[in-house]
Amino acid sequence: MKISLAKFSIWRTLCWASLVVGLAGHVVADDVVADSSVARDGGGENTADGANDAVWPRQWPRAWFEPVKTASQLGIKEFSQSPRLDSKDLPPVEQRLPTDPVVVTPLADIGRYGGTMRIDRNEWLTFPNVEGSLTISADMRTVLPNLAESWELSPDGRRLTMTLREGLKWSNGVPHTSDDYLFVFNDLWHNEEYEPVTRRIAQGGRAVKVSDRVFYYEFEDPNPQIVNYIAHYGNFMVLPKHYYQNFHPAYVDRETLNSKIADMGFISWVMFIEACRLQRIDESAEPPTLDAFQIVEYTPKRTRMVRNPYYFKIDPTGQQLPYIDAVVSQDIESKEVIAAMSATGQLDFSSYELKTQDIPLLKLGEQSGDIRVLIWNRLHSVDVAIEFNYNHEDKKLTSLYWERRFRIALSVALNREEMNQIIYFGRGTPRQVTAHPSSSMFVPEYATAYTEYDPDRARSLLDELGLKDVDGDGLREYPDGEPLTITLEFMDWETPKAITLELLSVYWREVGIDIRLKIVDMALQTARAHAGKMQMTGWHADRVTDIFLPQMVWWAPVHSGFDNTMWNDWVRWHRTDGQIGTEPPAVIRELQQWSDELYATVDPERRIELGKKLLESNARNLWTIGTVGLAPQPVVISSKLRGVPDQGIWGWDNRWTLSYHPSTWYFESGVASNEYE
Amino acid sequence: MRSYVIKRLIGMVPTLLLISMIVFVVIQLPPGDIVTSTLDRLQAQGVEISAEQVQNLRAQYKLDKPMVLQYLYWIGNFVTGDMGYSYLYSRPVNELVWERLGYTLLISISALLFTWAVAVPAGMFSAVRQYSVGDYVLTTVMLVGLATPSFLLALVAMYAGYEWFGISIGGLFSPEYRDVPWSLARVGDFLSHLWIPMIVVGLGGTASTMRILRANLLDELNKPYVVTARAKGVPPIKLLIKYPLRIAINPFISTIGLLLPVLISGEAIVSIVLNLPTTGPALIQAIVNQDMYLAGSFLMLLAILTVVGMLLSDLLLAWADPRIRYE
Repeated sequence: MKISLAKFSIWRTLCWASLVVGLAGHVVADDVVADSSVARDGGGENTADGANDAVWPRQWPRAWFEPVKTASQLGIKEFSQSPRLDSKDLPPVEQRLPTDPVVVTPLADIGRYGGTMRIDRNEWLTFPNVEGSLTISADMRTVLPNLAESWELSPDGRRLTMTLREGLKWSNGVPHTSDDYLFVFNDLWHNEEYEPVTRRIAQGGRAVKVSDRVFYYEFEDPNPQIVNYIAHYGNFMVLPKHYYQNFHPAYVDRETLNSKIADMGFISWVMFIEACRLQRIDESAEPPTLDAFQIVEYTPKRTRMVRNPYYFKIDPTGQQLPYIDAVVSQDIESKEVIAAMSATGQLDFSSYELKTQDIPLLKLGEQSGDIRVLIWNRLHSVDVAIEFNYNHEDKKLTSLYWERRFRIALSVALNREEMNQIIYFGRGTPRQVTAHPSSSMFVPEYATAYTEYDPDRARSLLDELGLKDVDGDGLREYPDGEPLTITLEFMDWETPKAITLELLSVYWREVGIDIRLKIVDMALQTARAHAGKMQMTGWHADRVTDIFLPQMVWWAPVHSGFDNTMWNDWVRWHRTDGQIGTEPPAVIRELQQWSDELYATVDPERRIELGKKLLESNARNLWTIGTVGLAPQPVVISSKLRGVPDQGIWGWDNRWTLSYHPSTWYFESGVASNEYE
Repeated sequence: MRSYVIKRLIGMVPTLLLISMIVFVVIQLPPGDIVTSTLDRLQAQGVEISAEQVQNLRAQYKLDKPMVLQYLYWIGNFVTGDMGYSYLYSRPVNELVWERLGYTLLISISALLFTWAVAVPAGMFSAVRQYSVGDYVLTTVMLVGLATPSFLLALVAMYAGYEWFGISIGGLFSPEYRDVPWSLARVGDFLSHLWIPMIVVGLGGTASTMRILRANLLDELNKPYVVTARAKGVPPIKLLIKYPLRIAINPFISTIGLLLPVLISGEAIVSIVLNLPTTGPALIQAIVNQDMYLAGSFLMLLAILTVVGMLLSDLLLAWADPRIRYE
């Protein structure tokens, strides 16, 4: 870890040294001009309550916000397939498609068949259009049907009934039925070996089959969030039972199973199923899929995929999707090599491993004409959320944290606009940790609360608290004269945390707060976070759209983990009904109660009301401090690739690309499908 | 001779045993293990986990036993050729190790040959022509090579390879040759990619090798037997190679064993930068993720290579220099 970190920063320094001087200025200037010419308009009126303040790129088709139409609704009767399939020994396309195929609207033009997509293996969820029973609209708040044509949540929120489309098939032609969902929910998630602890969403639940096309999830307690969960995580909630049951103790005699698993070189059936479904072993090429692409060959260095001949989606002219015939995904261990390969046109789609800091290098590569560099926005509310540990063992420190004026002082001491210019070329947004603008709970004032740069106010607030510089070193001491030092431990991963915190420490030192930074690795971060040993830490604030907001990761002590370690003792107290942990103060207790009600309520208006209350509390009290968010995410595509929106929103919440339908992306003519067999 | 080799082989056993213990303990020292990351996943999904449940999970991964038992289990299987299971890659360690080890050795050995091919003639030249312009130029170039970190050289070489020779970035093969069976064309492609890591890994060692050779030769060149040979009219090149060089080369032979670990550790960083399928990147990943069987097995294999390398170099030395005897 240490070695690679050092090496990464050197590579970046090199890029910067060579580029910042001559190039970055002009590149950035170009971009900003180009960006302001892309008009945005309100697209929110098609959502349920119309209270949406978010604006969406005009380029996005309206259909991306609405439930998909089917062939019969649009009167499509003729279906066609990729010429690559003509020579195959397959049933005709009409028989392979479901009874009433789903019609997907491409970005602009109807595509053409052909081509092989080159990606890096970490894009395994972002390009090969993965499919679940439900999906999320491009607005990131509306749940849409997908493999299921409809769903119904009972009024008490305890039962979710799903109805699958008729005639869906796995990529080997085997019919897709309710059993494929029951297998995951009952046989894996409720299997003690597979999941020693049942995940929160599945607790007290079971899945029941009504017919091959209809089944329901039923829970002991109201669980309305299951709908959001499926819309987001649905592709992991279905597996081809006819394949995986051969490796499950409920379907195979235990002894036979054990010897079979051992022969294959695995230590347990759990390990095998995990590795197989997460596409990490040679056997991952065996099970069929519902996604746009089927793996045909897996080696440690490369995955080869070809189009799924039974894919259930078509374009508005009746052509079966996907347009692209094949995918080759390489295992590339070094992120720097990924950036270099992206910049030199050796990958046709790349974003997952690219960073804001890579933009100058990529822009340099764009001049060759082989690639286009699109600038999307990450949905992270802020790239680095500063977390106070309110339950730290140092009581003097925690009582200081508990002072609202202290937190406000630290927030207004930050020059977020300068951070934005230095790190993001001015293309991020200075923000607090609050909902994404697309959210029904978003209130703009909550995002801007205490984000203005006012070091004088910070100083006077700190003076009020009695934090004075006694020994004349420019840094403040506690009122009793003891030195005040805060150590911020963090892991430099995913978002530009090191440079953000470097700047933060400069700003805080300017107002006299002695802040020390310490980079830790994953294992140490995890261990110290769970033990509540860190005085302060930082993480990127995702899980901020309507899909995830009900979990209230950042705004109430109901969740803790390596990424969220502000109030472990209060979380434990809450989870165990007071058996362990510490009882939180009344104001915090209230946050927990709101959050519990929000999670369980089936009334959408009540949910929004409670959500806003929680977010308001954070805007007023600054339980966490935000920096810069909605930051630019580079997306590199081949200049021959069409159908990719110029602007998009990038993150785990919306599954990166799923709303933009990668199955409709296509190559303009002249790209060979040489990997197809 | 035979008894010497046997004695040395027996002597290796306690050394390797000690190394294996240290390796196993050091890998386990940092906080957390492979279960920790599983816990994080569960906790991210909002589950609070009791100590009892953590124990169950550890048992599933066979991590609940005391460290001594885990060690015995690992080393016992290791001796019989079963290196355990990699949690990180979800496959037996044996499968992962061999291919990567092959590439590592290939790169290390070719780098070693490169080092010698450059350093020996250069050392000879600068010893014979001491304080000449050529001596200074060669020394300067070599020292620049020594002083430049290998990852930086790798970046520069990668850039140069792409910009001027059109070699694809990353890896030991062009994309079209990556997963096809060996053929003449594939060997050619491989060789066209091999030179970057070979030079980058090898260059670091050339400066010191050259300087040592130069110093050794200078010691020998003024000895009476050289003067005598020269007086008798032995041609200068023949003289140089046949007498002083044979003596001056001894230190290299005796350090072959030591060069291996140096090359392999230098190779790790370069391999990450160049995206090579060698042991280095996998070893670092395994250590970071505390994938103990994979990391332990890699380190043990490297230790074995080093110890065996030392023995080989001692044997070579005796063969090359008849003055050395086994006692």
